[in-house]
Amino acid sequence: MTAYLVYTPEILIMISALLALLFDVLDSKKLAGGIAIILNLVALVIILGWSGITGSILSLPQSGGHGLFYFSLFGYMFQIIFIIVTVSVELTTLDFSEYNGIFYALIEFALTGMMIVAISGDMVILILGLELAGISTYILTGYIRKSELSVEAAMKYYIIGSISSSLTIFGLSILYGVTGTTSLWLLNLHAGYSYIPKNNPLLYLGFSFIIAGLGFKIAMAPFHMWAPDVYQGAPSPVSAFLAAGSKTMGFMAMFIIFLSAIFYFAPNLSLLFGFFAILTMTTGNILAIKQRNIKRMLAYSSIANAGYILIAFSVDTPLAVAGGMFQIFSHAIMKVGAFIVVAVVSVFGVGESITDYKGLAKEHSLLALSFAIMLLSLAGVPPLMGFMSKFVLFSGAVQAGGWYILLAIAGVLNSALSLYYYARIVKYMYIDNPEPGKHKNKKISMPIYSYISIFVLVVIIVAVGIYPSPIIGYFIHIASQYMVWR
Amino acid sequence: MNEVVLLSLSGILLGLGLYGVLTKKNIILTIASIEIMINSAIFNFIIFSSYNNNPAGDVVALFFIALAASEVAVGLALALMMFRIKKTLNIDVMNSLRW
Repeated sequence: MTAYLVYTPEILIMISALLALLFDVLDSKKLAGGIAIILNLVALVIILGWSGITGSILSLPQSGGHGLFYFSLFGYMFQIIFIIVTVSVELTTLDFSEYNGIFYALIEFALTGMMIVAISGDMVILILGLELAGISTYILTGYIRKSELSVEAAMKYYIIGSISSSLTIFGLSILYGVTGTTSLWLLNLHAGYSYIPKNNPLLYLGFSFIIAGLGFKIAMAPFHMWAPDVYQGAPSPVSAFLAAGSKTMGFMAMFIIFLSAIFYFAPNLSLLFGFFAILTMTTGNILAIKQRNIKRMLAYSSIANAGYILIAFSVDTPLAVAGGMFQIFSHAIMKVGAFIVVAVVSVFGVGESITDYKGLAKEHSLLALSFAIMLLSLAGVPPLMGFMSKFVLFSGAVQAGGWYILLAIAGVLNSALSLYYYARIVKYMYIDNPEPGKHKNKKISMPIYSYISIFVLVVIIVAVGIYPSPIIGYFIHIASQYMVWR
Repeated sequence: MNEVVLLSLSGILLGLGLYGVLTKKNIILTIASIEIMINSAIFNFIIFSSYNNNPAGDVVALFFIALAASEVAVGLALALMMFRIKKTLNIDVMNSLRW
């Protein structure tokens, strides 16, 4: 029985999904959402205990490989990010009448998939987790059935997502053919064995398929065109979940495959990842400048952030990997917060065009202040969390020396470029006057749950920005353990 | 049979699927082409399983067949939703989201 204790968080979240389905039949949406949030928070407390941040309420399971699974601090850290993102999105949707119990069931199934990817130690589990999260999010994207944009976004996301997963499966099948094992934590032993030809072209064919497949998932530059369409068409809370959760899951799968399972070949792929990093961040930032729709702009800024994170794959030193994880964490928190603010201001009759945000500070000062903090943090203005994570990431690239310094320079220049389109919205909100007749000031009930989740996210952004040393230390601890593990 | 022949067959299947996704105008045919792409990867697992004398690949193939079926179910549901709104299955009408 105690052997199953290691799966407690996943089982709790699965139960909350099934209970949400049950309460959907009983037509009590608040109960479905409330129980899902409470079970998620229980799972969060358990994982926080296991990852050594707080005292543990369940005894620590044996870490390491368990057949199909591999438990490590790295996986627990990503599970914490997923739960924070999901709880914020669920709190927000409690205020909106169009989301009922089935929404919470789908989002909890997607969370289960992400949690399973975090502890996967085998190709089967990795792909099953990716697909469980993927299929749930296809349906979530098309959740507003009457909306033309929502259905179109869902169809586009479905086609692109299915192609990406089939390419990933194809690449993994080649990896299996060459190494003879489906286990990812055995693969890093097998790949080091001498009987595998190091320059086997078939192996590199497999790598390129996996890079293309997971590149679609994380919206890497040549494969990024779906992201703005989907983030714009999806309902805003779902966009928050996609940008923060789904993208983080793609990065985690890339960490598991490229930096631990086949770490032996990571130096050979370094130049390729460096090229993709510069291409992705430049494409994202340049295209974001032209956008007139706030959700498209946030989508392109998400693409640019994927470029920054790819630096960690290229440099592959403990400090750079810690910076990459920190950047993933801060990007998830900031992006989910920004999309939640977009969802909340739409309740007050503010549209999606960026000019609709003119004079927002005069009417909704708290929302404008938190949106400004999130945007400035995304741009990397000190003393906010986004600055600290970029600082650790770029200092990792500089510390590695050689041509990696170029990556840090490209990242800094791109951050400067990105400040333009973030600061433009802050200017619209605080300096410009509202256009007459734009803000309809509908009489609605206060979205109190959304305010709670926005408040918590802003507190995380500011607190980590002002006092970052414990969390930087923790990420470096995880990264060094992770490098030893492989 | 020779592995190279079988592997080139799965490569041809992947190429056919990709060609179908890129050229077909009907959403049902696009979904069918995606299925062909996933099946080529499953086929690869079976080929390598017999080549390596390792049953793991066959088990993985069984899992992924179920996975492909659940994926096509969602795809057909989305196609139905699209048909209700747009009254057509032509993929070219999905052009309201761009740039």
